[in-house]
Parts: sequence; C-alpha cells; structure tokens
Amino acid sequence: MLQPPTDLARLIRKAQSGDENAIASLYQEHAQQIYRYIAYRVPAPDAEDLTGEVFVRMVEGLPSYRITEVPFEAWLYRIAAARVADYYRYHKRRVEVELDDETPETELMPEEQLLERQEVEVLREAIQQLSPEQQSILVWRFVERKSHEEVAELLNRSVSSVKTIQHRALTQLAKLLGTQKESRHYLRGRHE
Amino acid sequence: MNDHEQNPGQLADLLDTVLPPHQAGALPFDGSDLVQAAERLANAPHPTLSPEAMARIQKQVIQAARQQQPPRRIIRLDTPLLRWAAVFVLVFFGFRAAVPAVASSLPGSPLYTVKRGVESVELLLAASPSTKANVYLDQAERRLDESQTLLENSQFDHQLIQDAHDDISQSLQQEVIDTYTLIEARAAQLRADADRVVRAAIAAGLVQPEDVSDLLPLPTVTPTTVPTATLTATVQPSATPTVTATSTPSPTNTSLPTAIPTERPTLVPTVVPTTVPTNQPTAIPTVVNTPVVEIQPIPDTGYITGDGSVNVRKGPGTEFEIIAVLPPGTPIQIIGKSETGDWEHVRLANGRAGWILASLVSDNPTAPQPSGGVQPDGNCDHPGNYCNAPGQQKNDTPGNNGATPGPNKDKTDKVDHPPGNDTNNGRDDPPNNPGPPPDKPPKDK
Repeated sequence: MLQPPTDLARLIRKAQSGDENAIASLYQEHAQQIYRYIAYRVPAPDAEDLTGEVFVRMVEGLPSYRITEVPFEAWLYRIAAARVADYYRYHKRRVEVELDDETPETELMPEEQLLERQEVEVLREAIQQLSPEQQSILVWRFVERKSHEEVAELLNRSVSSVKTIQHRALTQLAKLLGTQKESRHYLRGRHE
Repeated sequence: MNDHEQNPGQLADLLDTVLPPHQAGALPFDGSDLVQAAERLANAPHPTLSPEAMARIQKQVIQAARQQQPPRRIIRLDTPLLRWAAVFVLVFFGFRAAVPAVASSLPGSPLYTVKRGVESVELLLAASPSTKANVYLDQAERRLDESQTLLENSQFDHQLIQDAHDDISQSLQQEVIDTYTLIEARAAQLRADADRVVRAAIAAGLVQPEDVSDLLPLPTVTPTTVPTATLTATVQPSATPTVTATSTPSPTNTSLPTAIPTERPTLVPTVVPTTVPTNQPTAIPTVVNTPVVEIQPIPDTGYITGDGSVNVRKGPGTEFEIIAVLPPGTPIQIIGKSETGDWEHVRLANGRAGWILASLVSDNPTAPQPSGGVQPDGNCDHPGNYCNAPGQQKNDTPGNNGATPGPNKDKTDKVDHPPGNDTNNGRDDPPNNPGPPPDKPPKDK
C-alpha cells in the first residue's frame, strides 16, 4: 500500500465528495496493480480496457462505498475479478495455443523483448487454465508478493485455506509450464 | 517428491523463505518444480500500463466522475423516536401551525434539518396519489420560498432549486386521476417561479448563467410563448366566453383534426365547447398543442370584489388551507383557472400564488363579478386529461385507422399469408396501430 491507511481514508472521502484530484490519485495509486492482476488473466489489449472499466466502476461505486477494516484494494480487486468473469462470460473465448510459422509482426521486434513478451504470455496461458481463485492467489502471492495473511484478507478466507489453494495452484502451474516448455517458441496469444 | 510438495503448510514456509513477501527477487532454489514455478512467475517481466494508457484511462475515469450526479441531499429521520414525534406533530398540529420556527427555517440553520425531516414524514402520511402530489408541490413551494428569502439576502443555493424541480417532477409522476390538470398547472407555475428565482440570481450576479444551465428550461417551454387559447375569459364581465373547438377530419386525409379554440370570446352566452365530427374521424387527435394551452395561461389583472374580505387558499377548494385574506379592491394577478372554472389561480402582490373563488374576482375595482359559469379549459386533447364540458365528444372516436394505409396493408398481407406461416402471423398478431391511451373517467367535482 502506497499510503498509510489514514491518508488513504482521507483520499477516499475526498473522492466520494467528487474531488477529481482525489479520484485521479486513487486511480494512479492502484492502476498498475489492478492492470497486472487483469493482464495475467486476459490478453493485453483487453486488459487495458478492463482496467479502465474497473476504475469507472470505482467512480460509480464510491458514493456507496463504506470505509471498513477491509482494505480498499480488496474492493478494487473484487470489481476487477467481476470484470474478468464478465469478460469470459461474454467473450467465451480462451487464448489458444497455435502453431504459426509466419510471424511477421514479431520479426521486427528485438529478440529480447520478444522473449519477455513470450514469457508473460506463456505464464498467462498457463494461469488462465486455473480456477479464478487460484489465479488470484498466484498473482497476489508471486506478482504482488503479498503475504499469506494479506491474501487471506483479500480473499476473505483463512490462511490455511489460502496455503492449500496455493499448493494446488502451484502444482497445476508447474505441470502446465512443464508440458509447455518444449514448444515455448511456438506459443503466441491470439488477439482479436 | 519432496515433503513440501505434498504439504501445503511446508510449501508455504519454504516459499516465505525463497520468495519473501514484499521483497523483489528470489533466493536461488533448486529441486522443486512447485517453487520453480512460483519463482518463474515472480521473476517474469510483469505487464505494465504504458504512460499513454495510464493517461487515456485517467481521462476516461475523470469523465465518468464528471458525469456522476452529485449525491442528492436527503435528510431523513433515522430514529423511530424522532419519526414518531414528527408524525405526532403533523397529525395534531399541521406543518405550519405547530412549528412556525421550523417552517421558516433556512438551509444552514439547525431547525432546517428538522424541517426537511418533517417533510419526509409528511410524504409518508400522504394517503392518495393526489395528496402526495400536492405534498410534493408544497415542498417545492417551500424550497422556492427559501430560495426567495436567500435571494433577498444576496444568497443563492443551487441545490434548493434542484430539489424544487425534483419535487415538481415527483408530483407529476404520481398516478393522479381526478386532479391531474390542477397538479400540472400548479407544477408549471412553480417551475416558472423557479426560473424567475434563477434569473433573478443571475441578474444579481450571485451565480453565473453556465452554472445554472441545468436549472433553466429548454427553449421550447420559454414563458414568452403566447398561448392559443385563454383560460381567463370569465374575468371579462363584458362578455361570456365561448371556446369553440371544431373537429373536421376528412376521411381521405390522414392529417390531425384541427381543434382551434378561439382566443377571444364571442357574444354567445352559453359556454359549450362543441366538437362536431362531420364523419367518422380518421385520425388521432393531436396532443401537441395542449401543454402550451395548459401551462401558459395569460396573466391578467383582477380585483377582489364583494362586501367583505376574501380568503386566498392554497388550492382550488374550501378544504385547502387559507394563506392570505384580502380586502375588497385589492389588485391581484390572475395566472390561471381551475378546471371547473370556479376558482381563479392568482398571484398576490408579495409574489405568492393562491386560489380565490372566481365569483369574488372582478376585472374592475368596483363592479361586482357575475357568478362564473362553466369554463372551458381547452385541454381535452391531452391524454392525461379529459374535458367535462357538456357536448364534448372529441375523444369519443380516437384511433380509428380506417384511412391509415400502413397498418391496414399489413393486415391484408397477413390474411393473405398461406396457412402455416405461423412465425410471421405470430409476429404480426399484436396490434401495431395502438390508439391513444384510454380516456380517463369523468372527473368528480
């Protein structure tokens, strides 16, 4: 969290009264983490749009938001999780692994950048095959580097159940990454 | 397989060591697929929003914030005790009689919260839609009174005018059947009052025009529009008015029937709007002109007549509260008339609006006013209204589509469809030429 809770609460109250600067600050402080959460779950261009939707929903929901013990980011993550769920409900598409020998757009990219992009895409494709709860736990634990306790709070679950889900998620992830290792250079996300 | 690969607790402990929370990077660890998978995710170049995307989304978010309506200031009585106390006060004393200090309180004063709270109870107690609509209008009137007082103190409260407009809109949304015209007339008057306050505030430099653009009416309802019919004819003692509405639809013409109430009365003593359909009307009576007729009465000047003082009431009936008592000869501005013509809607010298029995109003300071007859209101075309004048038949035969080619053609086509074309028949089955809304029942006085 970038600000002590009291500052954040003050910012939220100002944003609730329509203060544009406060709204902009709330957005700027949480935009990247919400984007990362979404971008490991849906393809990049859609992730940007969904991030925008999350913060528009934030603005719409702020008047009725009540400051409680639950962190503000938990509320944002809930909005984001709902947007991702909607995304898959309406698009009903999964990013498929496809073999494609002609890769004109990627030929222009520096090799390193290509590899980085591929690494994120490989991870995303594997993560996408897990349950929504497993996806959230993996991103919070290893992308956001949150503790088990913090993840338990975000997920409103006990620490031990978080550890159990984490165990299951990593087991599956390792399996998926292992099977995909050989064909990594063929993996590409298909964006429509 | 290692122990931690089977035990979630052990894996969690190991991960806390290899990938400690809130720290970048990872300790090198080999020999576990699960930890390696976690490390791979932790060490990946995480996606980030580009500065352009950040700016673009921020713009979108701020735009959404601007479109967001500011939360309406609603003051409620939250505790049951206060609510019941307010109910008690209202039931036994009435709004103004019991709590004059509260009634005259202004925004910002502690009593004002009580005032708005009492009002919410007032609404709760309103049993019928008609009463409720009037309560809303009373509240709008109070907001405008408050605004007027503030204006006199060189203050302007945008929210008060907004609340008045909201109350007026609420009043028109009540399902009032018998007194809708009255509600509408009063609502129009209050809207005009609200506009007057806003314009006065602009003129006094208390507010910028662009800040109150949401409070001013669209050009189509500008008060300078001259109505095509008068509602104030009975205050002219020299003549008794007749409004003649003639409907002359042609069977071959699909245009709307012409209903033209004459603006000035003729010498015919009877007041019977007549509608003479020369044939089965083939078109739907228009509703276009009606609101103009109804909400834009011609202001006129009258005088209190009679032997003694005259009551000015809040509504057109003796059951309404008396808001002023005027001596004979007092000039008043006539702004409308009740649907039955028995009551004049007047504006007093202090700007307040009220109702006076029509027979006690004269257009001459001395001459007595002949007792009023039936007053045509010219509103019979309005779907929400009806006309109770004898002989009125305009709405008797609406929606006859005999000469309307479109729907009939469809119908013919449908009949010609071969049997079994169920899909098409099913789609066409609902009537696609609905007539105007059904007439409302005759009004009870």
